[in-house]
Amino acid sequence: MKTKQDSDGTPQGMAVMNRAQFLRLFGGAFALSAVPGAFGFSQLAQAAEGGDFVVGISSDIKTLDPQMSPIDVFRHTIRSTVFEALVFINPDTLKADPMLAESWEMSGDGLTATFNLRKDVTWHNGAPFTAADVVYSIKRVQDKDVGSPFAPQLVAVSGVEAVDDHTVKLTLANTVPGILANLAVIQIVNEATIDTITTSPVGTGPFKFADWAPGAQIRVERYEGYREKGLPKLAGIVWRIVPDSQARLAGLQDGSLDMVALVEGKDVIQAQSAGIGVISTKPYVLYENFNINTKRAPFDDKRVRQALAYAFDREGYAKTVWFGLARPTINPVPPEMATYLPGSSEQYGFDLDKAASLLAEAGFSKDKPLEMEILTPQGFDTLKSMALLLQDNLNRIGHKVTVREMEVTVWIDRILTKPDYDITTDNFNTGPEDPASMFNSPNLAPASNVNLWNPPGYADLVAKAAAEIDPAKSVELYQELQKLILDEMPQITVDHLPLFFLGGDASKSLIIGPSGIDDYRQVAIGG
Amino acid sequence: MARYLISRLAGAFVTLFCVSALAFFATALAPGNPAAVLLGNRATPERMEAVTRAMGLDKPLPVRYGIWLKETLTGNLGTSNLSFKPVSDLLMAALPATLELTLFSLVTAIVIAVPFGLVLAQGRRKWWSRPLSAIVTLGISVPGFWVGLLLIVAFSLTLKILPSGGFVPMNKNLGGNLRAMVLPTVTLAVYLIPPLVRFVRVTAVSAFNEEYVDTARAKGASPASILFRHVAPNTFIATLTFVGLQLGLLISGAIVVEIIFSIPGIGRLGLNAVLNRDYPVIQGVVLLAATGYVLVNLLIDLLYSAIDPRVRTG
Amino acid sequence: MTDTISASGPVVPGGPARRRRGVFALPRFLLRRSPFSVLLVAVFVFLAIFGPLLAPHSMTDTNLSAALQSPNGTYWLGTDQLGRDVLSRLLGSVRVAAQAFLIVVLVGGVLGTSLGLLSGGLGGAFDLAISRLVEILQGFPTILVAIVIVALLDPSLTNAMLAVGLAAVPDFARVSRSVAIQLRDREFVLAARGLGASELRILVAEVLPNMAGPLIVIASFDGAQAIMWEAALSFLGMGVQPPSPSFGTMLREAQNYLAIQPWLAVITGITVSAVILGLNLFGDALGDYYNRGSE
Repeated sequence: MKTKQDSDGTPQGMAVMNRAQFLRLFGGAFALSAVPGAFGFSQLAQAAEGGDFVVGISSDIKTLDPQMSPIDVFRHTIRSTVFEALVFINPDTLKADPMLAESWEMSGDGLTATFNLRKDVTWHNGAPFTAADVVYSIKRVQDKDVGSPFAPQLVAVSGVEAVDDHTVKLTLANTVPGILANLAVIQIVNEATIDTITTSPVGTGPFKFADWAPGAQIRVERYEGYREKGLPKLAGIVWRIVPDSQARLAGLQDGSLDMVALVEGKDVIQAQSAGIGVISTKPYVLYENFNINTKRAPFDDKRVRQALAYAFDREGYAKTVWFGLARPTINPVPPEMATYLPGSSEQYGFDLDKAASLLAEAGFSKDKPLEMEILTPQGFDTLKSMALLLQDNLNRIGHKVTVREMEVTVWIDRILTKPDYDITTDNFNTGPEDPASMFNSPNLAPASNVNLWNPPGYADLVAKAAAEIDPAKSVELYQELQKLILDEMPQITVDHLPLFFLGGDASKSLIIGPSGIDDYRQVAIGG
Repeated sequence: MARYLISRLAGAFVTLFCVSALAFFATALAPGNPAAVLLGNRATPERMEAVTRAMGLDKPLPVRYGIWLKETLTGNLGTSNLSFKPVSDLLMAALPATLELTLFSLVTAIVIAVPFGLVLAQGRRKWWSRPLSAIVTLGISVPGFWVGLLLIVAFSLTLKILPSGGFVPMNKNLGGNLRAMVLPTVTLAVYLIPPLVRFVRVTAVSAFNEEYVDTARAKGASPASILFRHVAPNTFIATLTFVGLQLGLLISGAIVVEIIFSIPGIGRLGLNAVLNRDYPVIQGVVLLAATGYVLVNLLIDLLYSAIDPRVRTG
Repeated sequence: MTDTISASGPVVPGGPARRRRGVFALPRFLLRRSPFSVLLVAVFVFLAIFGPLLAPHSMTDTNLSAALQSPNGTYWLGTDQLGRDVLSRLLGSVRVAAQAFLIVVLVGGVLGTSLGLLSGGLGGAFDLAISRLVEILQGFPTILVAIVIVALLDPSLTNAMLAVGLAAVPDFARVSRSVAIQLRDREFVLAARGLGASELRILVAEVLPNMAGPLIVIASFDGAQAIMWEAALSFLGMGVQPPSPSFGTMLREAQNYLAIQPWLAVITGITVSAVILGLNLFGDALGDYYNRGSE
């Protein structure tokens, strides 16, 4: 069934079909007399405006500033279309492709990176794009007063300067093998218009910002001055906020939505049974986990943390809650990475007896039960299921566990601002396929992490591994780090996940990047 | 009349002031911070503090309320802490959808509930009255949002004849607007019909028992004439009052309906603002809702006093 | 008493009158008039008290290998997405619904009736202030009140129902106020006043007993609404905390699996509707009883 409008806005198929079905249902005469005009002869209600590609998202974005808003599930909307980074991580090769930089070279000691910028790039307001913009953007992310959540990506960058209008030189404090992957998530912003970035952002991307109606939709439209002729193919993209999951599925079926972004396993299964296409990334773009407050007793005892790991049925969870679409693992490093510690993902298999005996060693038993509270942020059903399953298993062996579902802002208050929590569910980007960035992620970075975990020697080991240039030695060091976190269990990893999008043929040409930056340039309505 | 109007208006202002103050302090005292929404769960406390300061949220509460009140009285509702859009713009953008939704469902509810209630009252001693009212009661015992979900499954997913929601501005595409409004209107009307049918029925029954109805009956007036000349008008006025008082229910129902049918209205604006602790927007929504409530009730009072002069002199 | 007509309402459902009836008059009337609703309410009350004892399984035990099952010999009403027994969870939800009912009727009834009684009985500046207070209460949409209370005091059934109870205050206040006004000058009140009783004593001893009828009707209606609200608020994540079952959380979870296991949604929807239907029909019958005398 063709449900799309063509680009000049003429409705096809659907309106006729609707009318026919409607008349059949109610009997022609009745329908026409009872509902004058409006229903019988209307066009498809949600008809897209002038060939816009309409994507359903479940919640609104928080800000238009691409260098902010880390808990924003749908920040990829603006970040993928209006703005660009120096490089783009190709999801097939997992190598950096040129974006704003057309080429780059690393110095022999690995401490200087020089980027040659494209000369044919203009900002959406017509101004030319230059090296000064790159310098400004990187400094802005590093600026403590700005407070960009992307700052950890650039911790090793000690200097940035414009060699000339189209050459930028980065100086690194230590060697960072994954520096390109880090730079792929740093969007380049325009210094001249920075004051209006939260209301009318100006970027260099294939689409320019058109409108944000908070709570309703975000719209971008084709940037006619885009450097590659014929791209992007879409006249515009609308992200419409559709909070209800059944309404999103219905929207795909009645043609009011072309695509639905970032859905859970149950939505994938329901879409498949309804004949809707499913687009997914590599199976390890995201991981789900429990973060543990390792500073608070008794969670400062690694036996307690290990017990919690044994008490969670990862296999059952992945099979039931994710319908087998998730891959259970205890190691945040996926087997696909060269540094992966072989055989580690299956450690800590579900074993309540083992959990009970470890807890007993730590002094907890039926008579003196472990009392703890699992926090889980509102709106994430799979995380809530995770919390409930862990709770049930621990209570079954005689402990006293409660689950608290919290509004996201209050949740942040509890785990970050105060921090006042025992353990919480969370999910996190696995990151680019570079082990350094994983151990510098906010979950595991020695300097500061959510688990408040930083045993003696850990920081040195992370720094040593990141600086190691010999590949074999580097693998060795990273495997040592994995052994450490698997033994210490500062966080309990549960599974690896792909990102799921639902949609028709048009959405198949969307390139979903591994680091949350997607490429919409090739997407075209009707093919 | 003028004195009455002035005293009512003064009362309305007092109500609005109390409502806004209550909303302000209650939401400000609740835990949570819009800076956290912007910065996320992995920022450092120093950054959080800086952003909080930039949003002006570090000042003492009474000072913040004073600033808000002063700005509001000069017609400036402030800007959102997150989208940086003027609150008045956000309200105006969300208002049409909510107004349309609530008006449509109110009219639908009245059109269905008033005759139904009258018929039930008129036939209160007939054998069919109880099974009929039981059927109405059955229809109204299903949670409204559940009806909405079932309607989506039936009409959007299975039959594919009505859109599952969204909002099309009326001036852009009238047909599309009305089609998209069908399911939400029905769903919200389900919230309103039960109290309305009940109210109309009891009001009409007691009207039937009034002395003047007995008098009319004694004079040989037909049942139809009694219903239409004596009972229905009384009932209708009472219904107006009732509707005015049920505005809170209407707005609450609208929030749920707006979520299920993805309508970008006032309810969802308010809900998201509370979840994000976007204080200026919360205040705007509360003020708007309270103003609507006060205005509608003022209007109904005036209508009343026009019909029944005793109200004024009391 | 010049400007508060909106708070008085024009007509009192079931106008009060002093009449004597036998202790069994009400139950006899209800059984004859609406046996079905009596049955539903009786089952509701019975299950609210004993339901959790009758549950065949635990309400919270998960069993991942038995998730999303249709009704079968082990799980008579099937299982949910975590393999929890639906029948047991429904039985737990009935008790939660009864708690919601009680909290709302208690909060709304006690606060509302006292306010209405004082306002209508004493009149004057008192009446003016209370009417304004009631109006302010009503000016807030219930959901916003619930959100704020829940944010301040943490999400829980009690806190969510506190908000719904506050929303019910105006209903009780309005009815009791107009009854009080109507009765203020009746013979038996005048007689009591003649005998030297204080105004407050008159209100409590003479006026209050006479408004039981209308108040019970309001209670049955607002109580049924409370269950509806519990469902709606839990649907928005502001009510009962996991893993405890409630109609709202069960409906919300079932809705996620509508296309995979529609049974889950159907059985939960039917159960909650049956409870509310019973209360509504019961309220109808009660209303009829208290109106009978005036017919």
